[in-house]
Amino acid sequence: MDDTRARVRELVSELSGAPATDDAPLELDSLTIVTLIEALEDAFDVRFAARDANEDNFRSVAALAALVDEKRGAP
Amino acid sequence: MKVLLPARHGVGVTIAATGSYLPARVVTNDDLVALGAPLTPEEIERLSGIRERRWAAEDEATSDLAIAACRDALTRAGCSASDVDRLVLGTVSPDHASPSAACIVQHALGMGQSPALDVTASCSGFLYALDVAARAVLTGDERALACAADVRSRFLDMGDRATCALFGDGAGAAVLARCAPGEGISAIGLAADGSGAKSVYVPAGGSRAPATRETVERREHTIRMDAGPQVYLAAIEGMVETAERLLEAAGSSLAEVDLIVPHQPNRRILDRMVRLMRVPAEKMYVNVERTGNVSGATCAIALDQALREGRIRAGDRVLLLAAGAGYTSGAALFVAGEALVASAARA
Repeated sequence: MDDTRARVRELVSELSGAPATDDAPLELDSLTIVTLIEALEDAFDVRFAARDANEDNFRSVAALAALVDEKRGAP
Repeated sequence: MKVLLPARHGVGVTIAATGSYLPARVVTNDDLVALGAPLTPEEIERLSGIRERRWAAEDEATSDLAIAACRDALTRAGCSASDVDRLVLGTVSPDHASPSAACIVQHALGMGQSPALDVTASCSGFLYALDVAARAVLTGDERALACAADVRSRFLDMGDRATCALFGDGAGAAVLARCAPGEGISAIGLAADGSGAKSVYVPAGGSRAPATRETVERREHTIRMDAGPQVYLAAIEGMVETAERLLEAAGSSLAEVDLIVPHQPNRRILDRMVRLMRVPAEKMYVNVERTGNVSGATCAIALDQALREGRIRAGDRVLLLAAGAGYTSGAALFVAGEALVASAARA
């Protein structure tokens, strides 16, 4: 979980151009989110579905990391 | 998904010829930025794969583009408008809210009193038109025109990063004709899921919110795509699932398909489809870098261009594929006849 969060935080920071924290609300526009989805899929070997692309999952690094872990089947 | 299998009707329907029309005005990514797009030309190309698109001239409307595409298809088919029993036009940007753009096209072509109708299925417009026209041929028409045309450039908010660079204008058409059972079109499948009705939409100008000064000031007559990432993934899922289901219904598989001619929303979507469908990249026809997303007309234009470029040979199995707002989706599997391939070389 901690590893996932660290990598998600790194990717979000890189793509948004600003340092991200685990719980701060993410303010990403739709073009950045699409790029982030592709980056997360490559980094974690997971696949996002349309139903995953909702505000709840993209509200914070912690929420995104939890989704990624769920997709990876992590405990 | 509802699948039409012509073989079950004991009659065949084939694509006899195609045609297309793209407006003369080329709009590059630099042009868009000059018009106020809040992106750099490099960002547009990196994010969408689009380098240029065509926009209709000020005095051109959707019917003008459709007329040119239909004339092109009729010439290539070697028949006149009076030989055609029906016109089905897929569009979400008709000249007027009423009447249909199809009636304007029907009159201009000289189709006498043959019926003409619009079908509204957004980016799946050509597949929906093809289905309606094919059903008409299977139930008595000798020939029918399936056309799709859109001028979405009139409905763009140049301040919206998500949509301002994606759309181009254009039209594509196909002349459908009866053929021997078992030849031509093997299957057409359509689906809709209205839960996505507001995923990509034009909020005002209809009966829900008639155009007023306020709606225009709020730019509500332009295309809205508030859930872009969801639409991006839904378009891919829609096209991949529709392809799988259609091929299964037709008793075929992707391995038997020679060329996939998909709707071209943007390059990233097409690249992802290639990965998910596990097909070689060369099996998917791509022209998005030159035309952008031409909404319902995209698939028809791509088919016409693929034929003209010699990408389709006689006997090839071609899969047309589209998904769009609504949500709608559609697919068609056909075997390219010798006459179709020969017609593409005709001036």
